[in-house]
Amino acid sequence: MRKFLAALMLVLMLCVVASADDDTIKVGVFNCLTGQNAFGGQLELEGTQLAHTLNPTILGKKVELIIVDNKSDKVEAANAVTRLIENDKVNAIIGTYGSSLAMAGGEVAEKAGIPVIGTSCTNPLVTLDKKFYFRACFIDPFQGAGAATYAFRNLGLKRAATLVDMSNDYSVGLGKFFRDSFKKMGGDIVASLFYQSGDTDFTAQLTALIDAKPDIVFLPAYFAEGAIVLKQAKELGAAFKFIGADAMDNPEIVTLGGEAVEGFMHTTFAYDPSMPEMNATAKAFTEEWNKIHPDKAPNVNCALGYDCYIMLKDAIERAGSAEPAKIRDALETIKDLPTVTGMTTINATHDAEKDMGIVEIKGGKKTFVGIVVPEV
Amino acid sequence: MRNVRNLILTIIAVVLFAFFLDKAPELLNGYWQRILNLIAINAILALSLNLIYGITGMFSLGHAGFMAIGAYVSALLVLSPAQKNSMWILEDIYPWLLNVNAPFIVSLIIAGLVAAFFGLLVALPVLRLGGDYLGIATLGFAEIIRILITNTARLTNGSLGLKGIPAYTTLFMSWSCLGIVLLCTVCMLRSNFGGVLRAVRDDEVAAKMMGINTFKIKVIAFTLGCFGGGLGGALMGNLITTIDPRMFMITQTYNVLMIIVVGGLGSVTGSLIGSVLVTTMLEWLRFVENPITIGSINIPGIPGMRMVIFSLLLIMVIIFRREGIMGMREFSWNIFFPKKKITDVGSKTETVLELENVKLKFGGLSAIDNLSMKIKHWEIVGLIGPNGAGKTSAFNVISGFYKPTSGTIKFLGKSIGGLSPDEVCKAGMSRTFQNIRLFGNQTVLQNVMIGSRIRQKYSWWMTLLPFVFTDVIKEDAEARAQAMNLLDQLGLDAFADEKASSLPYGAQRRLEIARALATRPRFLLLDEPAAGMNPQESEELMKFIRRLRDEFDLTILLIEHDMKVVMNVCDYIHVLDQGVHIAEGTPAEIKANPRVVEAYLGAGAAEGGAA
Repeated sequence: MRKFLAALMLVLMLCVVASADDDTIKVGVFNCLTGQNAFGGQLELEGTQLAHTLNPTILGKKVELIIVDNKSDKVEAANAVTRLIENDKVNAIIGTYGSSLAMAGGEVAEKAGIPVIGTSCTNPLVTLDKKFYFRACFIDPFQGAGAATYAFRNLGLKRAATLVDMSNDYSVGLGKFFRDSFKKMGGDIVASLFYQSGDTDFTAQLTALIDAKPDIVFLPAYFAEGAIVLKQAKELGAAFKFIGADAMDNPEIVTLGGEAVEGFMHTTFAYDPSMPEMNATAKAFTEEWNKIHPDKAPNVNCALGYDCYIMLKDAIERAGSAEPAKIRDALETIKDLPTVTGMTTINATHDAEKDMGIVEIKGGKKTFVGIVVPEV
Repeated sequence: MRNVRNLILTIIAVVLFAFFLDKAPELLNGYWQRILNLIAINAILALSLNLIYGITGMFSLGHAGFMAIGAYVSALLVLSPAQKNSMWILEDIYPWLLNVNAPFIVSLIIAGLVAAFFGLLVALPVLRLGGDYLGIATLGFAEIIRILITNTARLTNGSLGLKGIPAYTTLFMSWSCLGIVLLCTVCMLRSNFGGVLRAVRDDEVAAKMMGINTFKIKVIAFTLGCFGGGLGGALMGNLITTIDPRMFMITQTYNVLMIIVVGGLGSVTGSLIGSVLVTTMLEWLRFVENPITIGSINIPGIPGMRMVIFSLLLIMVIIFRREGIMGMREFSWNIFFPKKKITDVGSKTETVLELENVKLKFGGLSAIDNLSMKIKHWEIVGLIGPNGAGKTSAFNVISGFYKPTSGTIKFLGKSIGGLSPDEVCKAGMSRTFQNIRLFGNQTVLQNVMIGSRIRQKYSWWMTLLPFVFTDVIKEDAEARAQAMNLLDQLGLDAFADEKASSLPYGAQRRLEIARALATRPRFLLLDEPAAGMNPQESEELMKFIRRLRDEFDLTILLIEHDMKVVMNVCDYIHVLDQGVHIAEGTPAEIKANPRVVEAYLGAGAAEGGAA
């Protein structure tokens, strides 16, 4: 047995194939491919891989993607980024879903001076005081304000409430910025309720909401809890509307939620396969995606994963070099770059400024209803 | 001689390793430095959980909670006011917290102390529970801590977490901390106090009879373990530089638990090996997730594959070495040097207690009814009666395991009714058990040394730094000498370094007596010392009991079924039947007492005079 094990080990060790080539640009991808955030991480990775397949060379050099899993775990995230930088000597990094993972990895990259583009890490703290961290997504305050603007200005609703996941930084942040912005415009916040990730019974909160008689409830939830909230609200006969955020953007929302999600709205990036007027990049992305994944519609995570690569490509081309420091400088000056999720501009805090879209479930279909400009 | 050699080897090893760490930044890239750092932190966490679970035997699942406390305390102390200001974006930070600041080393110590304080708070109510219940209670505690941190946003920034914690956890820092923790742990475990910890794990009942307040010992061990948890958490936070409540879920505890189970529960060496293996394996196995090309076959990378392989390796360890890699053994330089074989295993062969109307009832059942007896100094007294007569219950009442329902028990003129076993022991009484209760995983010598712990004056915390508090070394040396002396007198000296559970049956009985004697009792209770012995062995036992009385100036009360032993060795005999004291007298009187004969053989036999 022992000899067998020893032999097995030896074989495994010999399988480690190291490849080194000076004429390649190495791009590290760290994302949650396993663990609790694997769903989002996988989609983003597929987006990045699609962009790589379509653009295999930059500046005439071959681009190699080096993919590492961060297991949705902070310690692993820091290890993964260190490994990419120290062992694989990457020029730049793309990742990750999950802001706390981005913060753990970002600290390492900052010290090593390797630029990172975050896919969907929306917590404001991710890029705070960081020279080398950028992101393709907008941040929580922007999105919270966007939902408030749409509810107050576009829908003309005056009474709002929030239902927030207390244990989730994303949800807590969005809820706070929604309330602030809604009040500033002159609306009333009639209730502010909480739950914890993993809860399955929301009847207590929903009954309280029904009593408070809001016109609309902001639900910055992840899909697991959000779907149950919508279902139970339907059962209790709640009269108010729900508006969520990009974490509710799930390609299977209609199959999973059925009738309960009818009329549900959420803010998201300005991309959805159902968009009537797509820009050229988005059109190309959707077509290519459907060729490779005929049975699966793309969502914003795929789009953001794709956009990160496009941003990186643009920066390297404008810098004329794949040197990390030069890539960083070029990233800082990205302006009106056409990406899948609209025109991308990097602002002073390294966050992407881009249009925000609103999606509504109408007649059992995800429908892109328009673009909103948040009043922050 | 051997000790000096080992000390020199240890110092050489430590110096070499320190030299390696010093050169590490040049020899290793940042990735391997990080892993080396993680190994040290994991080792600290593993050692501290091992102290609680492996060594003292308390199944705790709360380590993640104590890590969270440590990480937050340290982070809040080392973050600058400006950083704090920019991070509390949802709710305002408490103004007093804003300007609280401390150097990193101070923050580490405070982190450990706060975690230990919470550990103490948990320990006092919860350690009255045992086994699985303790596991559930501590698991619940860890979850409570996490939810508290999530909900006290003004203090902890809630679910947003903290970031930008200065990366103070350098290789030097984490390994120095590990060095100190390791030194203290090893010193403590090698002292007699360490033996006491293991004794509590192996047999709590017997430990109590050695005069040990086992509850206090458990509280100390648990609190110390929590200190380690807090320290490890603080180092982790300063390595990752960002923390949030979701980092400290139950999986964090499982990680540590996995290390100590793989390494071996109860082994310090095992915890170290375990943390090296678990930390490096997970990283090293990353290559299996990359696309692999063997010859012409292309295997695409599968995310999560390394977890599958890692789990398989873990299962293999558990199947082939259930006790973990090291079991309970420890590393010792001695393994590199030939061991001397043990060749010769030769065998060498006033009123003290007063009970008055003692009753013991379990609900409606009366186990002892109105027992009164006096035992004089230097007597060997027998307590006999048929099965279920209440003999062992009487022993348990006298030695403090049961509280009498009514009546008084006086020992050396003082009332001891209602005292706990350890207090009774300290008053000068010791006992053996019907079913032998040795600390089976410890050596014969360690078993006996535990008995002398009640006479040692040094406090438990001195054992952390025995080179400063040299009393520890001195008193342990004395205890060792006395224990060796006892073993010598009882003919067990050849077995001194053997595991207690590996001894033959008769020797285990004698060892139990030796351990009882180590507490220096005035009064010894022997519960069926001749059980399971053949006639020749019981012959020797009789001589042995008298010799004990003479050499150690003892008064002895014994329960025995072997009538030959009872009649030959006892000066005086009390007879119990169904809880009732039916007779007392010299052996000759008892033999002739018709009630005794009736109790043993039934009514008809008494008339026939079959005794």
